[in-house]
Amino acid sequence: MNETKRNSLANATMSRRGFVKAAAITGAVGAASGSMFSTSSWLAPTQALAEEQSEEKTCYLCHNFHCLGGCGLKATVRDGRLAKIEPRPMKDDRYRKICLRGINEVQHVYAADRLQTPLRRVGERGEGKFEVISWDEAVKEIADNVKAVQEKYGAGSLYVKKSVEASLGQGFSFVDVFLNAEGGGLTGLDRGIANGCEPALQTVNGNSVNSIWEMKHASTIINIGDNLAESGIIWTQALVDAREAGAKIITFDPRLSPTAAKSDQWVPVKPAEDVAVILGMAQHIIENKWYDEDYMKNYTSYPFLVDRETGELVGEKMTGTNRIGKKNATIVHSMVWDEASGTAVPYDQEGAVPAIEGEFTLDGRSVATEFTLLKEKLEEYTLEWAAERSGIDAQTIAQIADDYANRGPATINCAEGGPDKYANADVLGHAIAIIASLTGNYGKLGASVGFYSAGGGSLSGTLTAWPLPEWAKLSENKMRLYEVASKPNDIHAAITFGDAFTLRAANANATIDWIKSLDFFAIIDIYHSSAVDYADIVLPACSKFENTEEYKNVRVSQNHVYIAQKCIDPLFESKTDLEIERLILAEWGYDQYLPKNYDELNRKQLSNLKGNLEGITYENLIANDCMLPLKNGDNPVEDQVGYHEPIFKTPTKRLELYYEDLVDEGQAFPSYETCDEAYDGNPLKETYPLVFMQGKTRYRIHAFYSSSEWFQENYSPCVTMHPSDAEARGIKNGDDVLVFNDRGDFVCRAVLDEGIRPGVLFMAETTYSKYYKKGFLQNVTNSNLVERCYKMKFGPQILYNDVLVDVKKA
Amino acid sequence: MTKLAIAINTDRCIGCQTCAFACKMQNSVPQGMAWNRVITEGCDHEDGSLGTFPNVTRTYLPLACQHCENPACEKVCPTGATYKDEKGRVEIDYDKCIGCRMCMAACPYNARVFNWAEPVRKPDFKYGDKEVVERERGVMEKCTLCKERTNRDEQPMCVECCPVRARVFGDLDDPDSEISKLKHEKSVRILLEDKGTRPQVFYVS
Repeated sequence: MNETKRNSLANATMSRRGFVKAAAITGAVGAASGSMFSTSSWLAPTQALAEEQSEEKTCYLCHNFHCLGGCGLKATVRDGRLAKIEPRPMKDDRYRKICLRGINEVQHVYAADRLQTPLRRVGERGEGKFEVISWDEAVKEIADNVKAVQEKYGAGSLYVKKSVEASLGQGFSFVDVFLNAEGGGLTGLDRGIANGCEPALQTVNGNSVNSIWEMKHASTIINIGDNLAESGIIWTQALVDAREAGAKIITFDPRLSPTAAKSDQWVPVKPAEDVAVILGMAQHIIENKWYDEDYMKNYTSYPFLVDRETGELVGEKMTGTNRIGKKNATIVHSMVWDEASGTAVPYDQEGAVPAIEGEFTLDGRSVATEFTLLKEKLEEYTLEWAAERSGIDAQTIAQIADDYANRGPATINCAEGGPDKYANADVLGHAIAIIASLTGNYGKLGASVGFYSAGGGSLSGTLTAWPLPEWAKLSENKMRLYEVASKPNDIHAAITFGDAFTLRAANANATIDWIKSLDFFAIIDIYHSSAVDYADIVLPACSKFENTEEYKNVRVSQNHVYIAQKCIDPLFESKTDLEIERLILAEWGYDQYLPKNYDELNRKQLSNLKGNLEGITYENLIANDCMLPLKNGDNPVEDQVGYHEPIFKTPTKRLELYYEDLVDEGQAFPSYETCDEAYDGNPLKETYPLVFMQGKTRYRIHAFYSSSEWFQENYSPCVTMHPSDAEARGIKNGDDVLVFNDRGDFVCRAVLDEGIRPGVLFMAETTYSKYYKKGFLQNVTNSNLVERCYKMKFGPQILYNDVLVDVKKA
Repeated sequence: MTKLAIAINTDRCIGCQTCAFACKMQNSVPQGMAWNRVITEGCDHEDGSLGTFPNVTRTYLPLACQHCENPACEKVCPTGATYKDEKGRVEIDYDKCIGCRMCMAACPYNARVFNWAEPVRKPDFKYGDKEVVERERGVMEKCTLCKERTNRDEQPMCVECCPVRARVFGDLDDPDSEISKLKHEKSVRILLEDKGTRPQVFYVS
C-alpha cells in the first residue's frame, strides 16, 4: 500500500504541475490566434440579464457522428448559454451514452478558436493574415471567383467537399450538386482491410453486419487495427461486457493502446505484419485440421473448381451483380467435383456430394478445388515464417490460432486503424476472411468479422430526400482526393465545409503546394482549423448546438431517430450550414430550389416514412423529446440484425474466398507482401530506422476538439517512443523532438513508454498545425498509391502508417 | 443511517476520463484543477505502462475524494469547515474555510485542490449545476459526491456519464443496495488501507 501511495501521489502531483504548465501555453495561443472578442465580451449583454433572472431549459440533440457515436444528449441551457450536457435517458439503457467529447462541448462551443466573422485573406496563402469582411462581400466574392473559374475551365473544375463531420451534420450537401462540381468520389480512407474482406464477407464498407452488442456471445474476440476505447469510446461497453461474460480479448497493436491494456492478451506485432500472423494462423489451422469441413462444404466456395493453368473458376459464365455490387458483371456459376458421380456438377445441384479437396481432369484441363489451391498457397506461411516477419513467437501465434478456431464462437474486430493504413491492408483483409471461413466463424451468433467502432450492424432507415431538379448533380468524378498531390488534375477552385484537405492528405507539403496552386479556395468552418490559413475567403459556421430556428438536423443513429433542438443562438456572426448554402446558391438564383429553413427541410425528411421509420412523424418526434426508436428499436438490436445463419449476399450465397479478378495480381488467394515502406529489410531503414504510426486519442475526433481549452490541459501533440530508441538519441521524457524524413518534418513533445514496440513511434492524429512548434504530422506521411487497389471496391488507400522517419532532439 | 459511496470496477474502467470531465462540468471546476481524474497507476504520464516491453501492465485508477469514514482531513481542519455530513459524505463549508491547507497536507489521496489564485473558468460564465456554489480564491475544494445531485436522489455525474458502466453509486448502510452486494461479492481494493481512513470509495475487480 505504501507503493500505491507513492505512485498515486507522484501521479496526481505531476498532473497538477502539468495543468499549470498547459494553462500557460493555452493563454499564449489564445492571444496569438487574434480573436476579436473573448466569450465574455461577446456575451456581456446576456450576462447582465443573467443576474436578474436565471432561467434554465432542457434541450435534446444528437451529438457527433464522426466518432461514430451519435449519442443522444440532454443539454441544459441557462440564460441562453450552454451550461451542462449529460446523456439523455433511454428505454434501453445501453444507449444512455456520452463521453468526454460530448461533455467538453460546454467549453468547446465557446473556444477561442471559433471563427467569428467572414474573413478575406490579405497575406500569402498559409500566412494566416486576414481582414474582416461582411457576409455580403464574402458571399459575392465566392460567387464571382467560382463563376470565373467555371466559365474558363468548366463546371467540374470546382471541387466541393463537406468534410465528414460537416456532411454528417446535415447528411447531405446542396452547393456541390447545384454547381455541378467535382465531388471527389472515393476518398482513400479507412477501407484498406475492407478492400480485401468485403468481397467475401459482405461487410458494409468494412462494418460488421452483426451488432457489437452480440460480442457477449463470443468466446474469443480479436481486435486488429482498433483502439475502440479511444475511438468509438461509447461502444467499448460491449467489449467490456463480453470480457465480463468470459470472452478472451486479444488485441494486435504495436502499442499498448488503452484497448490493448483492457485485453486479456496484447500482441505487440511489428507494424504492417498483422497479415503474417493471420497467414501463419491459417496455415496452422489447416495443418492441425482445426477447420470446419461441413461449414466449408456447405457455406463457402472452397469446393469450387479452378482451372490450374488459367486460374479461372470452372463453370458457366453469366452476367449479374458481382460480389462487390457491380452490376452487369461477369459471374461464374461454379462447379464442384461430385464424389458420388465422379463428375463436375454445378455447386447448387441437388444431391451433389462435393469434394473439398482434390485434383481432377475436366475436358482435358487440370482442375483443383479452391481448398486444394489454398493449402498449396499457405504451405510457405509456417509459424516460424510468421514469427520471423511479425516479431510474435511461433508458440503465441499457435495459441491465438487455437483460441480462434477451437474456443467457441469467435469474432474479429478488424477496424480502420493501424494495419488498415499500409500497402498490404487488402491482403490482410483477405487473410482474415480466410481464417473466418475455414473455422466457420462467420454467420453465427457471436461469430463475425468487421469494423465495430460504429457499433456494428444496426437498424437502418432512410429519411425522405429533399427533391432536387434533375440537373442538380455532381460532375463526372475525375479527381479522387488522394490523388491531388500525385496526379495531374483539372481542379481550379475549391469550396470545403471543414478541413477536407490538410487533415486527410498524406505528404501534406505536396497537398499544400496543390492548394496554393488553386485560383480560388473558400472554406466554411466552425473553428480556425489548419486549412483556414490557405483559404481566400473564410465563412464562420455555427456548431450543432446553435440555431436560428427551434429545430435543426434530423438524424438516424443508434437505432433511433433524433431531431436536434436549438440550444443557443449562433455565436458571433456564424450561420447554420443551411443558411450558408442558401446564401451561396442565391448568387446563382438556385436558392429557390432549397428548403427555406430547417423547418421545411425537417418536415419533408420526416414525411411519408416507410420501413423501420414507418409511423414516425415530425409531430410525434417533437412530442417525444426529439427522439423515437426505429421499428423494434426498443428491443435488443443484436437479435434483429446481421448474419445469424451462414447464408450470404454473394451471387452464390456462399462466402466466396477466391478472387479470380486478382489472378493477375497474384492475389486470388492472399499472398504475403511487405508494405510499401515501413517493412524490415527496406534499405531506407538505414537512413530512417523508425516506423511512424498514427492512431486515435480520446481527446480528438481527427482534429476536432483541437480547440478545446479543457482538453488542452491534458493533451498536446506528442510522439510516444520506446525508452531504448530515445536513449540512443539522447532524448528524455518531455523533450521537444524533430520527427523527419525526406518528405518533411515537425516538432512535438516526446513521451517515453515501455508499452510500445522498439523501433516504432506512435502519434495520435491530429491537431491543428498552429499547436505544433513546427509543421504537423502529415508532413512526413506517405502518399504512394497501390496500383492493384484500383481494381478493388474502395480503390487505393492512403498509406498513413506506411512511413519511415528518424527523430532527434529539437 | 446513510453511508453514500461509490464502487469503481477497475476491470471495466477504460481510462477514458469521461468521469473527470463530467465532474469538471457539473461542479464548475476551474482551469488547472480537478476534483476527479483517472491516473495511470505508477506512471508519470497518462496511458503509461509498468514493466519492460513486452511484459507490461497498466491500471487505470479513477481518483477523487474517498469520502472516508475516518477522514484525515476533518481531523486537522481548525475551523470545522471540513465535516462528515449526515449522508456519510465529506463536505466543505466554504464560508468557514480559511485556506490554511492543513487538510490538503493531511489527505493521503491528494484529492483536494486549492484556489491559489483567482479561479479561471472557461467558459467564463457559470457552467454546471445551478445549485453548485462557485469557490473563490483562498478556498479549498474537492469532490462533494455531487451533493447537489445526490440531495435530489440523482446519482453523481461521474456515475451518470460513465460510458462503460464502471461506477456504481449507492448506500452502504442499505444491505440490499447494489453497492453493498458488490462489496461482499467482488474482490475489493481499498486505497492506502493502512492509513486507517476507511474510504467509502472502493475499487472492485
